[in-house]
Parts: sequence; C-alpha cells; structure tokens
Amino acid sequence: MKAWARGFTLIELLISFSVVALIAGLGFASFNQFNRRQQVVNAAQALLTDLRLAQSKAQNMEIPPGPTSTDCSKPLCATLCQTNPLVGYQLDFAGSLTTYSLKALCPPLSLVVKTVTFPSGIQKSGGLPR
Amino acid sequence: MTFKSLRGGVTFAPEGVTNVVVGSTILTKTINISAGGEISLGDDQP
Repeated sequence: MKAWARGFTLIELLISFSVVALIAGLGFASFNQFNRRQQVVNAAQALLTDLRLAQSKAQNMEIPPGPTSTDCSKPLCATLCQTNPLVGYQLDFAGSLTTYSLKALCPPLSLVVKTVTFPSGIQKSGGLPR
Repeated sequence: MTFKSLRGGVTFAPEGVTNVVVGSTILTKTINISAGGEISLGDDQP
C-alpha cells in the first residue's frame, strides 16, 4: 500500500482541527470587536446628525408638524407652536445616558420631534459644560 | 443642548456643552461643539 493511501493519524487530525478552531475563534473575536466598535461609531454619527438637525431646524425656525386630527381631543394639540412661539430646538438626554429626544421649544411647552435610544451597551459617558 | 433661534443666527443656550462623549467599554467617540456652533466628530479613543 502506498504511503499516501494510509490516511491521517488521529494526532494529525486533532492538530488540524485545533488549528482550524483557533483561527476561527480569533476571527470571530476580531469580528465581534469590529462590530461593537462600529456600533459606537454609528451611534456617535447618528447623534452628530441629530445635533446638526436640531441646529438646522432652529436656524430655519422650522415649525414642527402638529399632531394629526385624531389627536385633537387633547388640549393644546395642533396649536402648540402656533400659539406659543418657537424659540429653538433642544437635544435633551433628560438625565438618561442611553436615550435622547429632539424637542421643539415653544415655552412653556415643548414638542418631542423624535426620540432615539442607543444600542445595547452604548451610552453617553460625558460632556463638558460650556 | 439647546439651539435657540435668534434674529441673525442660532446660538447655544448657556446650559450648552462643549462636547458629548458616546461610547462603550471598548471605544469612545467625542462629538465636539465649538462656541460658534460647529459640530464635528472627534477621534476614536480606546
């Protein structure tokens, strides 16, 4: 019988599988870390976009859309920013580290335009007062 | 962070911040806000 026809020994197979498992494990760990880093980058990018959105809406004095007619049983509904002048927009974390709201400010009221929650494991970790 | 609409431009309210830091245990990103209202994404910090 020729030497190559003998197949592989158990030791050879075990070593091969170990090397493959090691490479797969390293690859998975690396991918996982890349994925988590990318989530942070995306969250920061989304926050940046919303900050610019707030700035732009304030700059353009953009009146937020009123509630739909089905909401008109509520007090102050469609007239929110018509009767109370718009003074600006605010990105408000309201004490939360993971959720913020974009609000139109029509003192003494505010209207939430959108609310965003960071993906799991990501949070606001600081900010210096001006 | 409040962007107030004023005649002739937009400014930050006094309670505004100079930056916001967002991150997890492996990475943080800083968003810088200049006094002039310029908003930019900072470098990665492990």
